[in-house]
Amino acid sequence: MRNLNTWLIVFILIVTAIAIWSLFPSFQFLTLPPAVRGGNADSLARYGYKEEWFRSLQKKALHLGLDLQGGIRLVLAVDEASLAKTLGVKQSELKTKDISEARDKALTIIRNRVDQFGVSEPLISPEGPSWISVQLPGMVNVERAREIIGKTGLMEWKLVQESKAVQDILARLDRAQAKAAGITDSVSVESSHLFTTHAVYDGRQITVMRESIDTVNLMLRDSLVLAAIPPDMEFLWGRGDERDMTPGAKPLFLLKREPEVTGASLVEARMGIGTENNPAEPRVDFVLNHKDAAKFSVVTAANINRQLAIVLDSIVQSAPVIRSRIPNGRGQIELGSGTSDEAKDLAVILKAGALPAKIAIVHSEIVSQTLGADSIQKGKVSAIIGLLLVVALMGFYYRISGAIADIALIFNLLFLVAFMAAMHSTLTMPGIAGIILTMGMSVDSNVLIFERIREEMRVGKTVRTAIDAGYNRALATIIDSHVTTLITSVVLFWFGSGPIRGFAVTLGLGVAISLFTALVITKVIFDTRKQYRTLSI
Amino acid sequence: MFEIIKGTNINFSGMRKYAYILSGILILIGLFAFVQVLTGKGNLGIEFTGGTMVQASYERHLSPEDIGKIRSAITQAGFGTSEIQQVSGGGRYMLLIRLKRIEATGGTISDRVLEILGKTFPEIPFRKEATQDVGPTVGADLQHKAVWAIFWALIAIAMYIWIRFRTLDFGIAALVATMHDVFVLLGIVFVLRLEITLLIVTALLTIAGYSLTDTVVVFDRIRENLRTKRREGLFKVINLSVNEILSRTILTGGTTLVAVASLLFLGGDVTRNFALTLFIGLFLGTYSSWFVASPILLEWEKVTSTRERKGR
Repeated sequence: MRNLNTWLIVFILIVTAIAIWSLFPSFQFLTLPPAVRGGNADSLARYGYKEEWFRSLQKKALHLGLDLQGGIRLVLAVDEASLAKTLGVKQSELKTKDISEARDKALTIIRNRVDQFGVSEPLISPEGPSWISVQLPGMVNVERAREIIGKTGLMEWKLVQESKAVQDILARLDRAQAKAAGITDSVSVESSHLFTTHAVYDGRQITVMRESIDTVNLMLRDSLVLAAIPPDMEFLWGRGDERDMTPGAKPLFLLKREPEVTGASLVEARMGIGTENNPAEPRVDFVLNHKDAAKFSVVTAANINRQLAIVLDSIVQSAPVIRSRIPNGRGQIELGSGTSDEAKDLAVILKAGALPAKIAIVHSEIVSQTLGADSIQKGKVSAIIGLLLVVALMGFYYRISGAIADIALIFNLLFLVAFMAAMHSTLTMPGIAGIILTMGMSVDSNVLIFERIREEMRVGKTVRTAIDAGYNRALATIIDSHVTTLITSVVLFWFGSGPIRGFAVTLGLGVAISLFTALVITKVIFDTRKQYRTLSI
Repeated sequence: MFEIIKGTNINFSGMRKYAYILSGILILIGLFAFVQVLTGKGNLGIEFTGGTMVQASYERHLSPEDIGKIRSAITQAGFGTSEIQQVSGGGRYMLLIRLKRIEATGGTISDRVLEILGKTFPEIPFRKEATQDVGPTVGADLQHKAVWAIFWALIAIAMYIWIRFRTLDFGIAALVATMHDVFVLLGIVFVLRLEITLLIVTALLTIAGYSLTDTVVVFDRIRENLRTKRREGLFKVINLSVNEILSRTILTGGTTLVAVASLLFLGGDVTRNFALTLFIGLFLGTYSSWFVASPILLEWEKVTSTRERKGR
């Protein structure tokens, strides 16, 4: 018996050493200045930390959930209508396999994009049959995140309709609007420029003033207007920051619906500086692949002096006039008043390739870093106070035996957090709640044992036999009382998402570990003495 | 030896009639709440219904009129009714704005709400602390998952009870007590008008586990005592058993309660309602092993013994 105890002590010491060792990086990480913890390269340099060292430390440290460190979580869904269009089938004919294939392809592309943006520790994973979950810890600029991830990145070249066709269609739209407004008298119909008062055509491009943009958008969705536009044409908006535009106004383009060339895969895309009009303006240079370059060459040769619009995700980037055949598939996108960051982002998106279909953001969650830090602080305080209360209660009621149970509880917490760090689990606020609940519930084993020991002592058994009998007789009940908690934890882990999983992990692990700490560690401590005359219980 | 509870002889079984009335009322409330939730009238969180949540902090207190202004600005922008809450802490104030079921793909509504905030009070620098835009499909998916989680948890619990007790009387009694707690707790959550979030569902399931533990511990003792003291009758054995382990019940309940209380009062907004639900649930779990699970054993014996007598 004595011998067994020695081995157990050695075993406990080894486990403790491993636990402390696996917690060391987390300790190092969490004691860094908060500004550095964000992983921003500038602040790392300012405090004199090497980025490589930081990254590896961050990998080894206990992972904090978005709710604790701030960041963005997005859930993306493949837009089925757009996927059906790409595959050339009806939406109802889409198979589950098509959707999940598109999802997987999109996931790879998005991962490429995010990787190139240098977000630290991004988490990109499939969720359910058709969703993608993207977690960007530490990132709070949601606008940029949406740009990076949500942009389809599909570049198309579409011919701009010539001015005669544009004027003809605009006149038709005026008539359609008049009809919609209930004007029947033919003279009034002809003189009511209901559409062209908002969308002004100067023979070169259609301009819509800021205050008319919403109206025009509404008109373009009207069924009478839609019927007036020939099926092989479409209206698309420009970016709105083009040169020589009134601020706030946007150009509207009438294009041939069928693209001349689609640049789903580019050989090269990179940021450049300097455009025809401004040597300091950023631009994106791209090179088409061979097949597309050949098509491009044919199209440009056949349409000299016509405008060819570069359309990116249904927004016209620019519509230059073709001066001559372009044989090598090289071109550039001008970003007008865009910043060089935007140009960089666009280059990355174009190079990573176009998504197989449009992506809809179906869920987005942002937590600021201050709120995260606040949650950590509150979690820490409530965990410490909770621990002190439980420790005090046990010590008060069971005296020295209670103190032994308290030691076991502290081992329990140590092992729990160490195990989480070693398994690279993520600690969330509900996870902290799980730890706090574990502290309250896991002393139950010791309570059950101590109550048994008291009963045995009351019927007159010696301390030694009472201790042994207490452990033996309480065992069945202890296992029972843990199994029920484990059942709920497992179910919650299976079905829960994100934060709930965090709760299930800490509660389940905590209770499982307590089987070892509350039974073995306390028994080892009791067994360090062979004989007891009295027991403080 | 320090004992608060020593040689008690409380007549738990004798009090069961009062408990039946109380439990009956609470269960009715719980069932009503359950129906409300099923028909979508319950106070479901936006993670289930889809919708938008915006949390913004600022430095001066907003009067109810100010908040009314924000509310009407949001309505005017076409986002329907909103639920606005102001909380304070650490010299700062936090505005919690919730919008339900908006017909739009997620992503931009929270930005629009922040824009409206800034326009309504241009002099206050609002700081965006957290936003959530949940699309209806994601909400529906989560609802689906939650329902299955509850279903499987109950199946797993029932299976465990069956493996553990093998006899119908103990098994049914434990299952009824567990279900009792889940429904009653749901009813209380409903009456307190707490928003039913994923965390609240988690709390319900956690309490199901806790309550079952408590019942199992009581039942273990009852079965143990039945082996030696069968002749004294079930009524006496139940009372004796509950009294014998009273100090364990109170101590474990107590340690769990203080831990949860610490979370409730110090843990902040994220876990407050969760901790509150657990806090109430802990009392329920103990109540039900005394006044629901054990009495069912008694009633069961009455029914079977009269049946036996009639059979003779």
